[in-house]
Amino acid sequence: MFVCGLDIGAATTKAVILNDNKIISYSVLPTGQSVKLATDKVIDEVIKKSGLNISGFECVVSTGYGRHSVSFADRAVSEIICHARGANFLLPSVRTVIDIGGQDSKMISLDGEGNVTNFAMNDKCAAGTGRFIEVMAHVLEVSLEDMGKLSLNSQKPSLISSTCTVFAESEVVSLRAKGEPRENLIAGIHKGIASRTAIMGRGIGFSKDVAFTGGVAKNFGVKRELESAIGMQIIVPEEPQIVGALGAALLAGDGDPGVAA
Amino acid sequence: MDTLESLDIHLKNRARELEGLKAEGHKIIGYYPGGYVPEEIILSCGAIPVGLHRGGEHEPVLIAGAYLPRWIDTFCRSQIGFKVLGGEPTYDLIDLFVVPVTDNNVRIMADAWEFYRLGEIFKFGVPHRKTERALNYYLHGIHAFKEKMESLSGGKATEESLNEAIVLCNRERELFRKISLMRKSGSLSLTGKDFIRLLHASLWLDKRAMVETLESLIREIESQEIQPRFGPRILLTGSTLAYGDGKIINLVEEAGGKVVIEHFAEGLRYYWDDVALDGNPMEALAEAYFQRRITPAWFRPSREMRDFLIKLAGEFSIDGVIWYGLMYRDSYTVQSTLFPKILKDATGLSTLVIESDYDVQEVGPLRTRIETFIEMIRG
Amino acid sequence: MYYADILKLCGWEEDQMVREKPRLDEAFRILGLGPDEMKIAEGRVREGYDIDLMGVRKALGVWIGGLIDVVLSKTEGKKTVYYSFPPLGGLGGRISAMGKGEILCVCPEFILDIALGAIFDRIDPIMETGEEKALPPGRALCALNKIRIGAIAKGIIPAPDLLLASSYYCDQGGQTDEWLHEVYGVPWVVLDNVMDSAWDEFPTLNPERLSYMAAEIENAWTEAAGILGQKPDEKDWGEYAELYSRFVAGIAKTNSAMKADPPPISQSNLQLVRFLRNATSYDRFADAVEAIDTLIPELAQRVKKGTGPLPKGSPRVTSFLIPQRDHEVAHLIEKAGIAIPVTFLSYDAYTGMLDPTYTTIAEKSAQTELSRGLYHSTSAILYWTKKAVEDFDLDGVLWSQPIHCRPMASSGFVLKKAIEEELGIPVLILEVDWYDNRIFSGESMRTKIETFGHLLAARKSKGKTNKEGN
Repeated sequence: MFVCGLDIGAATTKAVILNDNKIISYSVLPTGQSVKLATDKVIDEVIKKSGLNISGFECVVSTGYGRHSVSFADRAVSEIICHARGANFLLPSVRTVIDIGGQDSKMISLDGEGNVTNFAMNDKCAAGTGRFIEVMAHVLEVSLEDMGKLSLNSQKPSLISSTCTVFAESEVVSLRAKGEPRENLIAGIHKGIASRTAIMGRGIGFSKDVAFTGGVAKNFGVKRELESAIGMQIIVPEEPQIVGALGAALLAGDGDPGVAA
Repeated sequence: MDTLESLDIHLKNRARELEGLKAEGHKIIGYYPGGYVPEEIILSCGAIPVGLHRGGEHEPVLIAGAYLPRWIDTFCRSQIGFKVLGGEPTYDLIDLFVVPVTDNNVRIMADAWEFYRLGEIFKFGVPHRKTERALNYYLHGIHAFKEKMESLSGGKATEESLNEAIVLCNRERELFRKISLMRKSGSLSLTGKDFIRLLHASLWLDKRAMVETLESLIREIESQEIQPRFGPRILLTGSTLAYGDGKIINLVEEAGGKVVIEHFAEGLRYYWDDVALDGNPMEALAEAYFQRRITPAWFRPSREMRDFLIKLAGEFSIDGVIWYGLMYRDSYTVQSTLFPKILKDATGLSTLVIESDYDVQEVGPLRTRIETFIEMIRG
Repeated sequence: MYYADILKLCGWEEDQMVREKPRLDEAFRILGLGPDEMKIAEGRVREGYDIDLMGVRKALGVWIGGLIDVVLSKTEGKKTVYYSFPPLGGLGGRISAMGKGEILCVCPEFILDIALGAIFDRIDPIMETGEEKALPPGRALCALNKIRIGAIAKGIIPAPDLLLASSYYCDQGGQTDEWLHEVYGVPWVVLDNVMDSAWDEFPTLNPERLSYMAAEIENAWTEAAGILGQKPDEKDWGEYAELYSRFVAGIAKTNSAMKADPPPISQSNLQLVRFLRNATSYDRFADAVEAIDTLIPELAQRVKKGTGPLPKGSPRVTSFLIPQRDHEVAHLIEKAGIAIPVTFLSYDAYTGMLDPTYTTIAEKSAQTELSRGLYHSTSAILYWTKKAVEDFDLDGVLWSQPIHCRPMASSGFVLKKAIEEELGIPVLILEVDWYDNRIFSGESMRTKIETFGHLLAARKSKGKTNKEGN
């Protein structure tokens, strides 16, 4: 039975197709201005990538910030629940998930079955999220993909405010003007994100194994700083961006009650 | 100045000194530096008072975010942060943290210290108004504190030992007043920054050493040639000026201003009132530390504070007031919107209101404001 | 009468509207509420409240009446007294009773936040004025104080003849009243309370602390009477007390109805009724009692039928209070399938522990207020929350943590850690503003609330209770 999970995020929309709990295909596309267009496109894409003639899905579950805007979804479930499920499927030993997405960051505690037992979420502002990195990458004229690589050259991360993206941006501009090396600035930005995340989760406690998901997980500079901040090793699944959509698809597969879309 | 150089040496050695005293069996008593803990009670029991007044740094504030929400005074959050981080001798060495519960920010900080078991804590309340029953309440509180001190230290706060401590502390206050009033001339080579350093040092150095330092400093000042120093005369005020939070005084002096007098509720030693020596020492302590002390902003009313600031502005021939608040200290935030107009109406003087959350790289925007203000009042 | 529809919806009788027409015309004119605003309000009431219940509709009507009363109080020659929220139980009522119809003693910002904010959605400009004058944004300051200053500055409500400063709990309230005193020359009476109790002291009350507060209450009462030119009389309390105890008894009945599964009414609606004691003049208090008396049999009916806004078996949690400025948060919580049968402010178990050795009105009042816990300490808040979890057999705690309130600041952190560890049930801390909806994002809250609902439902279906722990 073919089921589909959709994760509509602020930056990207993801889709995963499962058949009997096996991943058939997945797709990641920019969300752009229209959730409807993005979801239609990503569904087309993920079916094409499957190489199969799929006419319909047994069940579709949507997640992510746009989850309530998907008219053809059978259920909408929060991304926290879905990330836990998805991470558990890929890495059954995981008991903590750190997810840093486009506009928020989360820390999730889960049990061996992928159920959420506790969570914390930063959503008040962009500092400490993917958006923060995007803004800084733009200021430093570095591509997002290169941020991780460049930061590894730093011996001395700059001290940058992690309280406010706007202020941090002007700090970075003035430090750059003073000649502060780019790699130090990038490392400082990563360090700021890592400490914010570590503090957010500290009340709940990080238990191993710890997984890192979401778009920012592809940045190994942030991963390194996070490991240092929480004092533990971190696993990044092969495709960290699709973990939410995968979890949604798993929920579609096992008929778990969510909130009606 | 030689005295200030020797002060540096005292400060460098103090942590080791405290460790030594602790090893000998003396109790190190940390206290929240708002001027409501009579050091005399601590000294009279043979224990060592240490004001916990570190601030100005971002990391402790960040760490405190795991124990307290952001929406609490920055200095209060920092205290939790310094304790949790470790590495600050005074925070690590103390056997007890004494907190007079004044406003809700301080109460919440004490809650966190207690709940997360950061160390032994003793609280007593400070009422928010000056009535006879409030004075009695405060007196009751310091009696309970005295009992705690006696039981912890094994010492006894007798009338004699209390009076002895009062004499010593009065002497320190008297010397601070003397130096402070000398700053009226505006011509001392002792800058505002130097004076603040002395106030901070007095919160954790040995009292007798501090008294000697101040006496030596006065002799040095009196023997110096007066050299006029120019620049707008500033009254610096706010809720808390922590040890390690030097950015404002630095910016003011770099911009050519002179802080000739400062008035903060916390972080600096309060030295204006001596404790009476005739009669019951505990009552005399309550009378000086609570009744006569100029109220901080969270008193209802806090008119006394505003009137005192206006008086200081006149006596020290101030050209402008800088009101330096920390984020989320609500009483001070509201007062900061009331005071400037009252000051202007009474004296014609302007106030610069600035804020900090001990964040990284705040200096840029603060510099702009302070430089502009100094230029404005220079003319 | 362009406001007839909305008032009828809010339980006003035709003859009452006719009788009060000149007042309604004038008050709505001052408030700038015309036919369009009435239509919008109607839509908001229909969407936001449980209007199948006449008791709720009547309560809404009393809020609107309270708004009219405070707006017109000066022009109608009343002496006006303002106190703050959270109030000191009974003191405002005693002052109202003292002056009979001549004194209007209310918490005006509370009335404005509900009537002008939640119902008419026209409160934001007043908050902005408050921010501009005295309480700048971005400093986590209380919207209620912004409303008080803004509404007086804009001439929507009069500067009062007396302020009863809320120094028993909150620093900002005292500051706001001092600000009004300095700028508008309003006399103010301070009532102090020192929150220095040791962590594990509660529920025992420190006698020194209690006597200090009692003396402050007695003094405030006498000072207020003096300023208002009244002669305080123990009999005043007697007359008011009778009405007040009917109100309290009614509330207690609604609280016990909430033990049913499912609870017969949303907690946000019940809160609207419960808070009426902050809103009404002496004259209108009888209407508040009528609203409750109407509601009680309606709730009993639903309990008998086993109906309510949520299905039976929905996970049950407690909170501090439900953000009231907008229905959005309450709706999100309900849509996530979470029931709130009790809040900190509705839980009245403290009444069972009052020591009868305190006999004067002031002592009894101090004892009540301290035992209630809010004015006592953070540990008292924890104490009562744990008791409510046991008493109502709750599945979790959804703590509406106010970002603007210093006294409450540590409550969320403490509750989450203590309750998760000691009682083994999940706790969600939701950072919100109870009175101001300009700054929170419904979207981000939605994710947290839905996740929590999902988590609770999953645990409940696996039979995990607070007794079994994790």
